[in-house]
Amino acid sequence: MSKKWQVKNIVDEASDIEETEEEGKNEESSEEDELSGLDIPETKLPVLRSIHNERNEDADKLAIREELSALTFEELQKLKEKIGSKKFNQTLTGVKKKPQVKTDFKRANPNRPREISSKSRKIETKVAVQVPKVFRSDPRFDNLCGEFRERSFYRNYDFVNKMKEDEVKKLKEELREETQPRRIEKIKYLIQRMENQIRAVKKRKLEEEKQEEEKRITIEALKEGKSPYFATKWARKERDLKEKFETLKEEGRLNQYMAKKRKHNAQRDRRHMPSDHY
Amino acid sequence: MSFFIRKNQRGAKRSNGAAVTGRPKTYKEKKRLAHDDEISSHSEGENDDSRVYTESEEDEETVQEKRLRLTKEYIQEIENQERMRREEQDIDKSVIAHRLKEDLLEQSGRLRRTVADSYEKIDEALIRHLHCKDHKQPITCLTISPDCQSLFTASKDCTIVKWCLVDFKKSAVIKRVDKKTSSEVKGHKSVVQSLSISSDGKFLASGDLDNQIHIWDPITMKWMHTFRGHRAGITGLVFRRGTHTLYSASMDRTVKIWNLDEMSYVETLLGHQDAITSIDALNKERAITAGGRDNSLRVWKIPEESQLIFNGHQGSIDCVRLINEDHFVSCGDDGMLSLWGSQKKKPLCSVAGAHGMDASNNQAFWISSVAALTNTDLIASGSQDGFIRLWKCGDNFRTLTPLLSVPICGFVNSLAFSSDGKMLIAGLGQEHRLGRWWRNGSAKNEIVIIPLKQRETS
Repeated sequence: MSKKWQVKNIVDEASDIEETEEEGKNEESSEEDELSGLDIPETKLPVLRSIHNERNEDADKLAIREELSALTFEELQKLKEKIGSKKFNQTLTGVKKKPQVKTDFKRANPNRPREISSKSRKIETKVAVQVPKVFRSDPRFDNLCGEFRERSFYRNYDFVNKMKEDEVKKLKEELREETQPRRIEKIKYLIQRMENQIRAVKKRKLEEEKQEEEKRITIEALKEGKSPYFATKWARKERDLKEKFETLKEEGRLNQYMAKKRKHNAQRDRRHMPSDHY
Repeated sequence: MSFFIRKNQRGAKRSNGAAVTGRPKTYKEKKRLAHDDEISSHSEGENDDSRVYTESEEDEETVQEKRLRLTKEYIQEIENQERMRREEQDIDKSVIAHRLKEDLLEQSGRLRRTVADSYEKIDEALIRHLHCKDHKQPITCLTISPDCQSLFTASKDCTIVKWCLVDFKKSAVIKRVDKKTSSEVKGHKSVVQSLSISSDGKFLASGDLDNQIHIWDPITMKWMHTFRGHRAGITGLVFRRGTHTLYSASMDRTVKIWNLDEMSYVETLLGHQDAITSIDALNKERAITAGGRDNSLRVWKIPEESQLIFNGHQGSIDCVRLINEDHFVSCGDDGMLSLWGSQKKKPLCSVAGAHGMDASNNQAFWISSVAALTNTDLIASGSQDGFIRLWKCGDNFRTLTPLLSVPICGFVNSLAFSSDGKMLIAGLGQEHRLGRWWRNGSAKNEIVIIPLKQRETS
């Protein structure tokens, strides 16, 4: 609504004028709308009240005119005031303006002003401020994003891991200077999380390297003319164990690791031993 | 000798040779007239009253004779008028011909007179200021009686004052009423935003923000009738010229038509999407309304029950006035003054920042009122920048050139030209007529009468 007018309840009042968007409903209810608030008692104009504007037939017209003739002059005056003298005269004389009321307004060229009916209670849904409608799409289900390729994805977003490593360092420094317990908890949690993620990334990279190694072997074999190399599950496991052994030995944690393993295996084996309880 | 110049222009054959009048009577003549005007409504019964079309030969003779007699009388009258005007003994036949031509064009709504260039610079000493104690608050609207003898103004203190334009004095007042005054005393309870007088001076209509339209007798200033029916304040009222039909525009987005011969409501026109700010009409059964922030001007073709939508302006369209049947001018709070033609949905010509820029907020001054001298090319616009600007519409209404500026103080809430083009009357106020965004303390709530003088043409 216009900003200038000190309007009381204009929106509420306007909404009383039943501005619906369904055309059929409009035509049906327009007559009823116009007769609302009329002082003539309910019994007196049954046909006029129930009639639908567009479906007027000759029989109904006669019925309406009979009804109107039964009213007192005062009531006629009230009815006239309510629906307007133009419509009133039309119902009295039974004349409906057909040739002049155009239903299809076509203009000669698009530069001419647009023409519409001045009687319809339909609101034109045109908004003053056009807000751009935001269309969101999930890349997992959107066809435009293509198929997911893991290797490409990891290669493209590898820079994030580097950022993570830097941030872990920063967080550790922050932790040294932080005094609030809540904040310390948060930072610790974050550090733990990030370090886990970094470790996972490294692990994944190692796996990739191993796969590439296998592929390389296959390619070389093919070059030399031999058949391709297919690794079995046990071969892979053996290779992994060997690697693990090597790394542990280098770091000097081998004894510790072996002790733990022995303990764990013992526990597992004990399950299968007969127990003293019967 | 044919007084009927149309004959040569159109090369049309006359069915009855002796009938010569200024008004087209037969159906064929009307059809030819309407040929150029593509948006005309064929249902118009403009000249219905005097149409006599008979088939019997005996009757035709007497009818033709009657027509001849009436035409001779009419021409005699014109001669006398012209004689009085020019103070000559012999009148050139061409003068009468010119006059008849003008009358015909005026009847059909196609008269165009280019008078803007002939106006001289305004002598500020001759400008009159009218004050009265009934108008202590800003003037909101005014209307001049068609004989230019009286002026009616209304202001924010809910009063209507009648002024005499001969001696420039107040002649009557309709005071404000409230709950305490008895119901016999009629008046307005809230701000009167619109006034209009019928073209024969028989009815004065006033509408306020309390959804009421009061009808008064302009001569005695007595209350005649009240129309209730609008659901929100009435922002515009206009009489169709030559009739007693009143068009009212309201903030409930409807235009209502009232018949004052029967004092009844006729119909409602729907379509606007924002409160209607202004309405205007000329001789045709059409009205034009400005729809505020829905940025549309709508021409309502009443007999055909349709509307034409024109789009333009960026802010709210505050006032619209018809220059002639085909062209109109509008102004808005975006500071733009736009000229329109009925054949194009966008303005023909727009002047942005027509009244300059407001230094305090770096926006163009809101143009609050506009007036047009009917059937000519002269336009006046008023804002709060301290000037009333007169413009000339040039070259088929495609250009607007500034003509004159009259320095005044205050908000120009209402402008009107007198029908003879001799006066421009402005209603001023310390505030804008619609609200209190600014208040100009140095201004006065008064009516300013600017005499317009035309250069004598040899």
